[in-house]
Amino acid sequence: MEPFLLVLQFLADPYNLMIIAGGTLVGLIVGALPGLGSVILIALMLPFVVRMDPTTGIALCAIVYCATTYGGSITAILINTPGTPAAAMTTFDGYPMAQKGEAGRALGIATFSSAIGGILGILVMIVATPLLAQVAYHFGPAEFFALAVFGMSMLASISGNSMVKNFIGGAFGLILATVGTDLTTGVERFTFGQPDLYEGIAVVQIMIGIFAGGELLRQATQTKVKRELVADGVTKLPSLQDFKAIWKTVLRATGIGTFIGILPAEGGKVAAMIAYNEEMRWSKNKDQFGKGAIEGLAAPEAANNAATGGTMVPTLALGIPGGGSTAIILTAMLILGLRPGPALFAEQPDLLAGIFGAMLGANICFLIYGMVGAKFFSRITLIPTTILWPCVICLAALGAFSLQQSMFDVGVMVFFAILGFFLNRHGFAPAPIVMGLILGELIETSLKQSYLIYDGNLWAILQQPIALVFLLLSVLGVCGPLIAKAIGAYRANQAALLTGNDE
Amino acid sequence: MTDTHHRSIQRTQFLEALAVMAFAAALYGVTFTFDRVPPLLAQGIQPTVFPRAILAIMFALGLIRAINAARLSAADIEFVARTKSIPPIVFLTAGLLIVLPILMAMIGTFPALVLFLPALSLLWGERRWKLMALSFAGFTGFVYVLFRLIMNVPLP
Repeated sequence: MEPFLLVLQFLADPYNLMIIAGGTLVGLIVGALPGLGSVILIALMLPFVVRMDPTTGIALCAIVYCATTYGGSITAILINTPGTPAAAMTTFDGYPMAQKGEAGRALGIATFSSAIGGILGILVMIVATPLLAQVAYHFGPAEFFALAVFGMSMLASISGNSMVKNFIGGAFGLILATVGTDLTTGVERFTFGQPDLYEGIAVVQIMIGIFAGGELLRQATQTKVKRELVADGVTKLPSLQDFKAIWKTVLRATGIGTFIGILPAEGGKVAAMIAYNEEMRWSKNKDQFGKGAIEGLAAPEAANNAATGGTMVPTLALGIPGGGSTAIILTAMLILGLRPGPALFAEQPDLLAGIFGAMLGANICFLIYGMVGAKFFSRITLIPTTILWPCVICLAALGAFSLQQSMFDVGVMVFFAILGFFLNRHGFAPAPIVMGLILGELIETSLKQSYLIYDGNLWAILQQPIALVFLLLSVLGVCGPLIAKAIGAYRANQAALLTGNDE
Repeated sequence: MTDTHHRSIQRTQFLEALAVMAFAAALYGVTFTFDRVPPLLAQGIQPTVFPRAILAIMFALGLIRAINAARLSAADIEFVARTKSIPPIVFLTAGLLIVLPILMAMIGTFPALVLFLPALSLLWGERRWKLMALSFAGFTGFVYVLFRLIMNVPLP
């Protein structure tokens, strides 16, 4: 009960409400801008966040994370362009509804599904995070090593990319994490005599470069794209009939979204995709999917917003990011001197209440903004990229500079912007690189500590039950998609053989 | 899909795999330049062990990729089919991006912004001068207020 009371206490403070209202507004505006999203916005905010009071800074990140996730649906419905990757599935049924003259209804359904999914996901987060953190009390280096390996193994199932490429990206991130002076021995690694690298490569600058800079170069290929609104976005309240039709969908999708969100490395995009597919599989109106089915709109929206709460669970309880945005929030926490895990719950209950309260408030706030201001947010999409992106990249460069007042850091940002663009073009997504970058130190440190504790016998890690479970899950995480693929191919072969025999 | 196209995709995938393997091998070579420390100080694990393990895994993954290049999956073919050649505007944008920190260091942040913002906008085809002037003047003012007045950052 105590966490809920602390959350209410946080929400009762007018200053916090102002932060929630302002942060949600910024998040919605950015979420509605195609190309920008929570990852880029939080990366750009990092230089400012690390100067703030920790509770306000991290709460602000959490607020914009929730708001951008919902904001992406507005453009998905009105211009068939998802503002964020998590809203990609929303275009499938949202845009056809808008084309049929039901834009207001579509926005209403998306807003309500998002808010309900988001709020339920956060309630699960408030209950599950402390419980998971309690489990983490029993973690030693072996368990943390196995947990971090499990986090990396989840890269196998990130959708849309080759598994091998994801692992190569993850390994690249791990190598980047080793750059600098080794803290145990004082030996310089991969510094190439460059003093600016002695303390390691700047994580924030890499993130800003790889996400914002990489996207700038991608946007350069789309300067001729013209965006047109199919309708003015005046949101309409869903009717009672709509509610009756979607409430089960929303609950199912919320469950899927929260669960997928809790898994390390997965996020709103995967949650929305699975929820949409599951809804279609169980629906009686399968043929309506892709043509404006309201269940097809409600499912991904509820799932991707529920996933925001889910992704925060492993981030706060274990220090393992649940997705790209939470990886950056985790970085902000580490820079601010906050170490996620059980100690955080014992020492900083106010901070956690702030995060929970801020996310809850953001969901309620975007419900209000969405109902009254969707028309305004939909017009934001018409800001020309030729004006917007030069400003974004200057903000990125200045943000990269401001952290340590170093031009070298701006150079790092530019280097990773160009590298990020080319890697992405060749199918190496930025998320695995960031996962590796963040988990690298934890993996190496816990491995070294395990080596010392078990007197050089690393096999002893397998004798720790929790570590063994995580390592088995890692093997399953890597082999699972391969086995599923092999079964699919076998079934397809069998079906082809049967068809051949019939003929 | 023609055989030529198929071969071209295979070649691209193979070259990607080779690049990964070369990168891993080169960095593995660099680890030999790391200082060795006495076993007591290293606490059993030399500073080279972890990077070498990762680089070995990376090399192996590159090798798997190279072997897979011979038998392309449908996803690979679809991914490459969606990829068009890089238009020159990307290289020009990247060039401007490289110039930005150089300009910041040479002539200062605000003059650099005054040059960079319209240059990139013009490069991307914007010709509405009034819109550009108003937007970029407003943005430069915002940067001044945020970084100099609020955050007190000593910009170059």
